[in-house]
Amino acid sequence: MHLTEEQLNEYLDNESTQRAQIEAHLSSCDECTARLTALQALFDEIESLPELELTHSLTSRFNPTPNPIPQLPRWLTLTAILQAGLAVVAIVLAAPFATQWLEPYLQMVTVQPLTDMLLDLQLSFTAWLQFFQAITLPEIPSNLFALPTEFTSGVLLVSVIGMFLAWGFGNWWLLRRKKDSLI
Amino acid sequence: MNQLFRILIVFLLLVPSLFGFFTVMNVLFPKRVAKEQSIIQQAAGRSFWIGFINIVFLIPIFLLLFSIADRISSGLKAIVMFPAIIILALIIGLASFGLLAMVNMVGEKLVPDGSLMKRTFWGTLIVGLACALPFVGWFLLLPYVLILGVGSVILSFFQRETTPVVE
Repeated sequence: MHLTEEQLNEYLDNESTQRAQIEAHLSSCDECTARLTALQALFDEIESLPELELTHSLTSRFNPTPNPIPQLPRWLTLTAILQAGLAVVAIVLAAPFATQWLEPYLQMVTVQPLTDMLLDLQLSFTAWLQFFQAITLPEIPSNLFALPTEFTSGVLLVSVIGMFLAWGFGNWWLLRRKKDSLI
Repeated sequence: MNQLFRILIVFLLLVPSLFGFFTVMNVLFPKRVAKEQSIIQQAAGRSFWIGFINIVFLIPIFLLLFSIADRISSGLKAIVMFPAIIILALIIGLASFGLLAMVNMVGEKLVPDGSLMKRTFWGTLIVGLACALPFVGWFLLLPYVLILGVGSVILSFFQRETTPVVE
């Protein structure tokens, strides 16, 4: 009877309750000793691997709501509702007195009529529209690609061929250097 | 000054449109984009020089071909125009994929745990805002981002699958 994988793993992790029996078996069984050595080598290799850093965190993918909003206790919610209700009642009761008290001050304040406000808004909007209408892209001159007449078509053709060659050489030179970077 | 402000607004209005474009590209070509992103992180210098060589030569070649086509009036014009258009399409394609890789990289750095949409959105917004900065953004950052991106796209076609690709 040989040791199971689970027993070997527990033994390597120092979590086995039967260490004495396992060690006794290992001293007499070459096959189990070889399996233990192989397992130990595997663990060592895994531990020797470098730790890779992820390019971005995956936490949000597995834990979409890390900080859920805590629920208030029921009694506190009821108290808050009651307080809000009392506040509304207090405002309703106090409103006539407050209006009476504020009346002289309110008369001093001149409020612009709503129509004037709307008119101002409309004028601002029209001004914005006019501003956007005034935006013009620069006009491309009709003779943009016309070069001076001193450059004959032959010269231009030679220039194009030369540039093509330079372009091809540049790309070949840069793309052939695969291992080392220029900077 | 007013014109400067207008250009800035046009730049910012492009952001929502670019966000849609980049999201669609991310969905359609996830492996290609992931490979480009991985290349930018592993070989930024090489990507830059390859992108630089291609931008510096392809744009003048395209302009020269157009100039030649402009002088020709016969049926030969179409023959010269065809490679010019092909080169223009190539430049636009490379720039789109390159910019997308850069936007993804920025988005991933900003919102590492965010969804694809969130990363793309923040990447597009931040890169768009940064490139909208007058002069420094227009003439330094935007060309740098484009060159690096274009280089990574070209390298992604030549690099073998030896290194792990960030998914």
